[in-house]
Amino acid sequence: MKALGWSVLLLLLTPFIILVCYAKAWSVPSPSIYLPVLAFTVLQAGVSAILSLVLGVVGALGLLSLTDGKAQKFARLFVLVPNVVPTLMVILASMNVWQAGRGLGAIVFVHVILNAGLVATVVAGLISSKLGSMAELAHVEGASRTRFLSKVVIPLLRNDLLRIGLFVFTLCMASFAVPLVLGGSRATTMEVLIYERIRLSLDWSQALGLAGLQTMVVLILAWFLRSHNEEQMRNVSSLPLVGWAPGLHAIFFPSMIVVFGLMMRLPQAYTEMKSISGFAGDWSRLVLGSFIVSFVTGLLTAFLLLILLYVRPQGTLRRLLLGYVAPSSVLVGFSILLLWRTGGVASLVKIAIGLTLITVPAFYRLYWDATISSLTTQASVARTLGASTWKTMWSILVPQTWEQCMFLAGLAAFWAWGDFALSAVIGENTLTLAMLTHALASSYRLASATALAWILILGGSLTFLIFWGAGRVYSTRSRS
Amino acid sequence: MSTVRDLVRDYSISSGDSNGDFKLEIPLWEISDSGVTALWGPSGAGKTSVFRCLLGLEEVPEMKWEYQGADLASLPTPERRLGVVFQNYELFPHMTAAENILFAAQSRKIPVEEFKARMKELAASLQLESCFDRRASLLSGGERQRVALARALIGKPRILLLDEPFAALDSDLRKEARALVKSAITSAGIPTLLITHDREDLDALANHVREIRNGKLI
Repeated sequence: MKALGWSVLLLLLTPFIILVCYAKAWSVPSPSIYLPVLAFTVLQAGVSAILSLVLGVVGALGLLSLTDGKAQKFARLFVLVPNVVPTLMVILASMNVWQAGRGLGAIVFVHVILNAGLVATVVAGLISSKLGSMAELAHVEGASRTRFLSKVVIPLLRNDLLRIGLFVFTLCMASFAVPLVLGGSRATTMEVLIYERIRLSLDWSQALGLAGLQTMVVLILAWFLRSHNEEQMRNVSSLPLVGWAPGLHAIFFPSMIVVFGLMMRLPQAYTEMKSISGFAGDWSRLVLGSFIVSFVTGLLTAFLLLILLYVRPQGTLRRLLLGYVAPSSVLVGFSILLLWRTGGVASLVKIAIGLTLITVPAFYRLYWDATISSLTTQASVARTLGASTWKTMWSILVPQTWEQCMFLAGLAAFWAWGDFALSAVIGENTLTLAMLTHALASSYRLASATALAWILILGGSLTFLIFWGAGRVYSTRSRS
Repeated sequence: MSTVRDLVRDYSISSGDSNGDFKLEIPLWEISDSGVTALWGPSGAGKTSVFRCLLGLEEVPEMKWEYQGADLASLPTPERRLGVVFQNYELFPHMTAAENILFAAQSRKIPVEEFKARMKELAASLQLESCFDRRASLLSGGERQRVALARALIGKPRILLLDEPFAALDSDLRKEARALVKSAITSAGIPTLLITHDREDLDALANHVREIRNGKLI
C-alpha cells in the first residue's frame, strides 16, 4: 500500500521528472531575451498580488459586516464566482467590460478579478477563527474599529497576510492563460515565452531551459508556502467591530464583472457567427472533443482520489503531497509532449491526463486530505475488528466519501470544458470548443467567443451533473 | 496468563516534538486470561498509548505479547483477533446498528448461522432489539456503547479491550451500563482488559488491577 502511495506521488511529479531527465538538452536563451521577460513576469505578479491583497482585505471586512447567516453564505459563494468558472470565461468577461486592449494593465486587471474573492474569503476566515473572541472582547470594552484593526488585526495577521500575498504572487508567476490572451507582443511572461519556443520557434531545447528556470523559481516560492499547523480558536461568525459594509461593494465588483461581462455582446453573437466561414462544419467534432477531455479528466480525477483514499497517506508521504505545488499548464503540457508525441484522438487523452495532474494536487491539499484524516479512526477500528484493507475501503471509506469524490471529479470535468491553455500546448490544431473560443477572442470576435463561452458553461454543467449525479445516486442507495 | 514484554516507545522521538518527553516503559506485564484486568491511572499516564500499542495501531518493533503459544505482537492488527471498544465507540455513522455488528462478523468470517445465533444472544443480553435498524448517528449514548460492545464481541475475540468505555456516558447511565457490560462479558467468557481512570469502574468490574503512571507500571 505504501508503494502505491509513493507511485501516486511519482505520477504527480512526472512533469518535473521528465524535465530533469531531459536536463542534458537544456539551453537557456541569451539574458537579453529572458531577463526582460523575467522582470515583466515578476512585475505583473507583484502588482497583481498587492492589488488582490488590498481588495481582498477590504472585501474580508465587508464579508464580516454581514450578520445574517444566509446573506453571509450567499456573499461568500458569490465572491468565489471568478474562481469557479473556467479562467477563459473570466478573461472574456473582462475583455467585454474593460476594452483597454492588451498589456500589463489588462493582465493585472484579470489576475485581480481572479484572486481578490479568494483572498477575501481566506482573510475573513482567518479573522473570525483567530481573532473572533478578541474582537468580541474589544467590542465589549469599547475599542474603536480603527484601533482594533491597527493594534490587533494587522499585527497579529501580518505573517498570514504575507503568506497569502506570496501565494497569489506564485499563482500569477505561473499564470499562463491570462498573459497568453492579454499579453500582446510587448507583454510576454516566462510561461508564454516557453510556449512560443515550443509552438512558434520549435526550439524545444530553449523551452526546456526556460521551463527549468521557471520551475526553480516556483519551487522556491512553494517552499515558503508549505503548510503550517496553526492553533485554531473559536470561530465567531458575526464581527460587528471588524465588519465594514462598504467593503462588500468592493469585493462584489469582480464577480459582477464576470456575470455581466458574459451577458454583454450576446445580442450580436448570431450575426457575427454567421459571418465566420466554415464555422458550423466543425461543431460536432469540437463538442465531442471537449466532452471527451472533460469526461476523461473527471474519471481520472475520481480514480486518483480513490487511490489516495485507499492508501491514506501518512507521515512523510502526506507531508510531501500537502507541500506539492502542481506545475503550470505550459510545463505539464510540455512534459507530456516530450513523453508522448502521437496526435489525433490521443491528444484529447493527453490533455485530460495533464489537467488531472494539475487538478488533483490542489484537491488533495484543499479538501481530500481533511476528508481522509476525518476517517482515520474509523479505518483503525475496522482493522482492529479484522477487516481487510479492501473491505475497509469499500464498506467504510468509499460510502462516506463517494459523493464528495464525485463532486470533485465533476468540478474537474467542468473546468476541463474551459481549458484552452494546456490544450494549446498539446494540440496541434483546434481540438475543443474552448480552443476555438480562445481563437475567436484572440481575433477580437468577442460576441462569438462570448456565445461559445455560454455553450462551454452549459456543456461543463451537464458533465458536472453526470458525475455529481452518480455520486448522489450511489450515496442515496447506500443509505436506503 | 498472557505476557507483554518490552512495550517501550519514546514519543518525543516519534513525534519529533522536542517539548514532549513522554515514554512508555513496560518491560514485563502479565495479563490474566480470565476475568477483567484493569489498567488504571490518571489522565496522561499513558493508558491509551498502551491500548493503541496492544492493538497494533502504533509500531513497537521490540514488543512481544505471548498468548497461548502465539506472539500477538508479531501479527498484523486484523490477525491479532482482538475485540475493541473505543472511548467514543467509533461506530460507522453511515451504517445501522445491525450493519455495524454484521461488518465485524463478516470481517472475522463468522458463518451466517453462527452469526444469527450470537446476534440473538447479544441482542438479548445487551438489550439491542429496539435500535437494530437505526443508523448509528441517530443512537443515544447508551445505545452506542451497547452496539460497540456487541460489535466487539460478535467475532469471538481472543481478548476484549475496553478504553474508558463509560467516560462518554452521563453519570446516571454509568451504573446501569457497568452492570450490563459486566453481565455481557461474563456470559461471553472472554478475558478483558479494561483501561480506565475511574475508580468506580474498578470496583464494579475489575478482578485484577495494575496502575500506570508516567508510562510505567507501578
